Amino acid sequence: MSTMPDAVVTSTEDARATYWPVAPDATDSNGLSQAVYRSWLAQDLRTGPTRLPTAQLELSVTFAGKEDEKDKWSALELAAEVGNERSFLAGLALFDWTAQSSRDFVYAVRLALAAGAHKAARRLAQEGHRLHPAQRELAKMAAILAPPRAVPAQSRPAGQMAANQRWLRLHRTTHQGKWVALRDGQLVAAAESARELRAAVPDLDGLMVTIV
Amino acid sequence: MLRLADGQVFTSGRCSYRFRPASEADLSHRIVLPIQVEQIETEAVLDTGAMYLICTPELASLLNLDPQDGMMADRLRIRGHPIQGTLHRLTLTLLASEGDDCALEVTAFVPDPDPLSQWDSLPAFLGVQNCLDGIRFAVDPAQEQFYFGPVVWG
Repeated sequence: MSTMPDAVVTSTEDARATYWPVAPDATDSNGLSQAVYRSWLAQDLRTGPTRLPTAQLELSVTFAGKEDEKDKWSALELAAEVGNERSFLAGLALFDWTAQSSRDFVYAVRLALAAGAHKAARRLAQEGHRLHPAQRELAKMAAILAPPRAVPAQSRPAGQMAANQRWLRLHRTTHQGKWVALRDGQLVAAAESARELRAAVPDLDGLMVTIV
Repeated sequence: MLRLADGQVFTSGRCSYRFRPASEADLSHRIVLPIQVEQIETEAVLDTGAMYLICTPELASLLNLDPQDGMMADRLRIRGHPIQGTLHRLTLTLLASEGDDCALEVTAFVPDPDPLSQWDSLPAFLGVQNCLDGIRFAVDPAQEQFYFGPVVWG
């Protein structure tokens, strides 16, 4: 079995997420081949930080280099089930993603979120949308999971925020646990829940609404 | 605002924060920031271990978010725990008492209502991963000031 280089064992999801997709006969930007990922996955399945259930050990034997597509999906599903992000990312690297269907991408995004591999989920959604632009679910996923982006800030009245914060500091004890609506440092309404507050003040525009 | 040694702007806005527990049941003090989500001005707990903007079901009800517009996440894993909910794309604004507000379009997670989770007693949460990692920020604990923006990513 290959030994995992320290740099990869301790790497962040960010770094790992940049490794795939890797073509079966090529190395990635870090000079790593699918064989290396395969050996990591096999090791993770047996002895990784979040070891998979013993009933699944048979699968780790498969990842000695003779797995098929079904085995790869099983590995992703298992990694998602137990929240083993590292195994999930290693499993992703074994696929040729240029050959996957739009349904496969949608399913892989959901598995990535379940595994806690959030940046991989974003990349799968983006790659899937690029390869299958007509697929609406992937378009929606790519839009929702896109990186944060700047948008123009709306103008608002100066001074109101400071007045509201002052009210919150002064009345924390008397209103603790209550939902309040404030305007210019004045209490407009207080309620036990946000829904009750909405019922009391249907138009919340221009108000600060928070739980004390 | 804050500048780097070469004069470049590091942050362009500043606000006071409240240092208090997130809820009555919470034993730890948190940094609670004034923010705006879409049209609603509210508060959020800064949580450097979290990801996304976590928008409680209560706040989602105030925003009239339609789950059909979002993306179902039946087992989204946050801090090692699987949570069911919906992902949305929302506009988050960090509100400045001095300098410029910072508005970002971010991924927001709305957990499904769950009587055991006590979401109804919590404000929103601002995660770093996939949310605040799009901006620079700094904290002055002595003065309870939060410095933020501009957007450096995306």
